[in-house]
Amino acid sequence: MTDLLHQARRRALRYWVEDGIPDLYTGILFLLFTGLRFLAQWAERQQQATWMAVGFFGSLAVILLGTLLGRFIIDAIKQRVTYPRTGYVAYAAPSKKERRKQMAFTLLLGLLLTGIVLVHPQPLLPFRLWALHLILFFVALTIAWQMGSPRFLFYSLVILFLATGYHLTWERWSPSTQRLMTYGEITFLVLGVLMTLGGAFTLVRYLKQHPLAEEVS
Amino acid sequence: MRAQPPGPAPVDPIIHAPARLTIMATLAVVQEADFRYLLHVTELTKGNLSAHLSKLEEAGYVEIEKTFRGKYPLTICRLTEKGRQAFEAYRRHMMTFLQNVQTSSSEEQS
Repeated sequence: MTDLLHQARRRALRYWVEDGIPDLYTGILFLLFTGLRFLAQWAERQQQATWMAVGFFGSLAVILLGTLLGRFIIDAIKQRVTYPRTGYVAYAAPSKKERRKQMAFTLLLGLLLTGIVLVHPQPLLPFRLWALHLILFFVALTIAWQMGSPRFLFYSLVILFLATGYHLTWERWSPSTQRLMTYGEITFLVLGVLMTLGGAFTLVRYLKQHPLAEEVS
Repeated sequence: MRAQPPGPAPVDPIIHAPARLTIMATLAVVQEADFRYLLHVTELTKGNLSAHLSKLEEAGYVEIEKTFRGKYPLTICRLTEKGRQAFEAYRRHMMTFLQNVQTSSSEEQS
């Protein structure tokens, strides 16, 4: 019985990523962020104050608004694409137990980051990059585990691979190349490309498998 | 004549049918879902799903609401409070039953 409920819950959660729209949305968001960050860096070198402001505040706005409005935007797209094909589902609010789990997870992540600072106060890789990759890795891994999505497992492994690569080679990077990674731009670029492609491929396959049907009831 | 020991309490026959149990479990973990989603998840035929939903609605376990989302008509299904309680009772009953079966089979083996 617990299995049946567990399966139903996982099935409902997996439904959210089944059409590839969340990957596609996140991928485009990451690419926009990277583009604006590179614009800010280029403008800084060229001493173009206006473009620098556009790049800096634009990238901040893309990440903040994109994250805050993500659920609504994805839901609005799903209303046009997914719900008429394979149906609509509204998720239940998380239970107390689930909320406690989320809090414990956040606390664990916080402790892990604090641990890294305490154990290794001057790591080879700047702390913000460690923290960024660790957070991205755990978020992707949690989605992969909760929703049973192999794509998100792949993204989490890519993040781990990139973080390890930076760690091993960081000292050999020139200062100008290191500046390209101020806010993890290369990681966002790689993830942006992979998630956009993964999402687009999944969406095309989903649309082929589920052509728009007439109303059923 | 010796009196028979009391058997297990009868399970709710409305929920016990496999298709209806799947529908109930699906609706138990979400706030609401439409007919098309239930079709997609349960892999039942339209007629079958419709018949099972009618039975659950008659029993007062499921609430069905016909509405529109944009230009698409939607048949929204959700568990009622009575349905949630009945499903929880059924779940507990089956868990106890399965635990008892497990205990008695391990006792027989030892």
